[in-house]
Amino acid sequence: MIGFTLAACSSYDFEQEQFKNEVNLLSNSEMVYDKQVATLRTDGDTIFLVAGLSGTNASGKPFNVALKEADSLFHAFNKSNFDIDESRFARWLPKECYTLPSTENQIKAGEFQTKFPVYLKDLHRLSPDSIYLLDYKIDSLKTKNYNEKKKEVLIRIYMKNEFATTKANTFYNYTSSYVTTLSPTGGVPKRPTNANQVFPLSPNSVRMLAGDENMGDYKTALSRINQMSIKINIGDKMTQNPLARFVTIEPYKTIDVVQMPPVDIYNNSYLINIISTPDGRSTYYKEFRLHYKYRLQSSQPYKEVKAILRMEYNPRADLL
Amino acid sequence: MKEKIIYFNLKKMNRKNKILIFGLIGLLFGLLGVTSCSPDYETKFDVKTLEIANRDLAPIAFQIDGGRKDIKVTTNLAVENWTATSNADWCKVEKSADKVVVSANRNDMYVTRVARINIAYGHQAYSIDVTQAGVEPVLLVEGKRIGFVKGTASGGGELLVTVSSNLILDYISTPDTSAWVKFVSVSDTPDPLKKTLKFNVEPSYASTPRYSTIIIQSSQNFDYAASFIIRQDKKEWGEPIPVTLTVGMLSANATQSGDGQGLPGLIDDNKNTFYHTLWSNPSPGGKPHYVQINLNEPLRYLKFEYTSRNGSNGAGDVTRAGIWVSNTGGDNDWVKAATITFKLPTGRGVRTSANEIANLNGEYKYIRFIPEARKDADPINPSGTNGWWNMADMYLYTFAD
Repeated sequence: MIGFTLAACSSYDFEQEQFKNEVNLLSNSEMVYDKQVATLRTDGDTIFLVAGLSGTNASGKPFNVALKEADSLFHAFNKSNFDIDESRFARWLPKECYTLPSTENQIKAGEFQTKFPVYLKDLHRLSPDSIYLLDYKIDSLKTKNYNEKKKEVLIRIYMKNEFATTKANTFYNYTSSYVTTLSPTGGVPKRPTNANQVFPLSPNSVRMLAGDENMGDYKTALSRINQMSIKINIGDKMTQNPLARFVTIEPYKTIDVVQMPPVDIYNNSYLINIISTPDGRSTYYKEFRLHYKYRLQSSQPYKEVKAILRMEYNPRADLL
Repeated sequence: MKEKIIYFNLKKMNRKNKILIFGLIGLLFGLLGVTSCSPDYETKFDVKTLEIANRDLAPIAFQIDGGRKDIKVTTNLAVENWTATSNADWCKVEKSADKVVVSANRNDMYVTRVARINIAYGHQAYSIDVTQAGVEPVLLVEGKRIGFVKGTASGGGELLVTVSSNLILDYISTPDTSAWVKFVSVSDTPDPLKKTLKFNVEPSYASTPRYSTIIIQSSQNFDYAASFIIRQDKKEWGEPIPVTLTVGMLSANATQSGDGQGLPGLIDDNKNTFYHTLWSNPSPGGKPHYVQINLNEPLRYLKFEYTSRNGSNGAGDVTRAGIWVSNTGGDNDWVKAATITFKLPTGRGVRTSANEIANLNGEYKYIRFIPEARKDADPINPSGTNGWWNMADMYLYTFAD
């Protein structure tokens, strides 16, 4: 009896209990892969489209993965997020800003993923206010055994430089700052204490609003941003303090802005400010120290701005 | 032969042997205990250290000519395994087995320069601040760094100021609120340490002196700034020349009927008559109430006076007015040429004079007197029925240029 029982047990196929090996394109629940942030550099950066292999056990044979361009998720993304408001639609990443050198790759035997490099360049041409996407799907003719529900992915392009990122809102807070209207009756300086949102433009430049201007609702702020923003270019180290770098200030679009000579601590610099407590703990800040004047219309008097814009950061987190 | 069974019979042993046996047994157990407690992992480490004495961590200050300083390093590491770096190109570091040499060349800049050197092996890191003095900057305006006052006549014109400096003077700041001063140029003089700053000053028509603070800076050292003050004398006007006003020269957009004597009451030199603008209805088109004067000949400089309305509470006494000009007198080409203010009259039927002479910046025949503020309203709001003002008499004067 026991012998019969054992013989019967030995013929059960446990393979059917295991999860199958299927190729999938890595993405979140909304079919978007948005974990990577490209660094704005003159020589570009590389991000990856990741194809994974599901399954309980590693496969004993390689899996070929082939991709092709798609657009269904792109259109679905815009429709579901913005309905008919085309001005806010996400855009295709311009062709001149990327190359995908190979659309075919292989998940090696025993491994669970392969990466397709996407080489990015000239990201400074992109607007920090727009969403840029790439849309790829698995080529069903060249890829066997793939997960239908994970066969297409949107890659969202984020960019960052040393000073700001588009992945998350970057705010620098005003501290010890003054905005003074320069007219014979202008008088009393205002003391802004609000936060100013900073956007990366290129490896060494950022955009922010001038003075204490307010862009209002960001979703409808395009014209106000163009009217009220200044561009800060960060240059070489300062001789007096190698932790500080020279900055120059210029108009972003239409604003009339004039950089003024450094005065006191408002010396037109970008600084890593390390404030230490007596017990040895240090707090690190990225600071813009600016002195300029601006006006939005030529009929208005200039407003003089002496500003320190400060953002706390953790230098160790940057190394992760 | 029977085997002898050798056994220990403790009872028959002598005392010495018992002590010896028990001592050996005790020693054996002791050794067993010690060896069983010893750890089964490595406890002997080769500790790597990198140390710098506190006295060598003091900031280093080089003079203008540079120099070198040795920092003694106590370490059991090979030279290639620890680091010595500087965050500024001008401050050089060289490491050897037992020291770091910090050096700098001459500093020909006009600023003190700063660096930080870092000597480290893993978490054992030491930072030392290094500074180097630069060339002493000189920046004096007529011998003073601040406080010099350069006077100029009311007529304006070119203004020259001598500055003693070894810096390049590339930032000369004139305040936005002093549009009457314009910086023109910096020029060298035969003395290499002296430079001449040239300004253009516009003529002043103000009845008080006016001042502007000029700030001088150099990109070679922005922090070392100098400043001086330009003081322009007030305009000395000649005798005021009365301008005869007639009813035919005057018109208005909002005269109140039935209260006062209208425009004739404004120019009859009688403090018991008066002119009152509209209060019973909203202002036409919501516009400010004005009196228009069509002069017999174009004039440039005007001074207004008025006598306050007699027998009222003074609420309508004008305190500020805009003087607008036009080339045609029509409705569409008026521009504001000046703003004048009045001290409040000291009583009813009392004359007061404008604090300023209106400079129209050109000669005009068509003038509008448009009050902007009165005793009980600043500004006057013309949109409803509260845009009114009044006075007993208006007087107008001009001046020769």
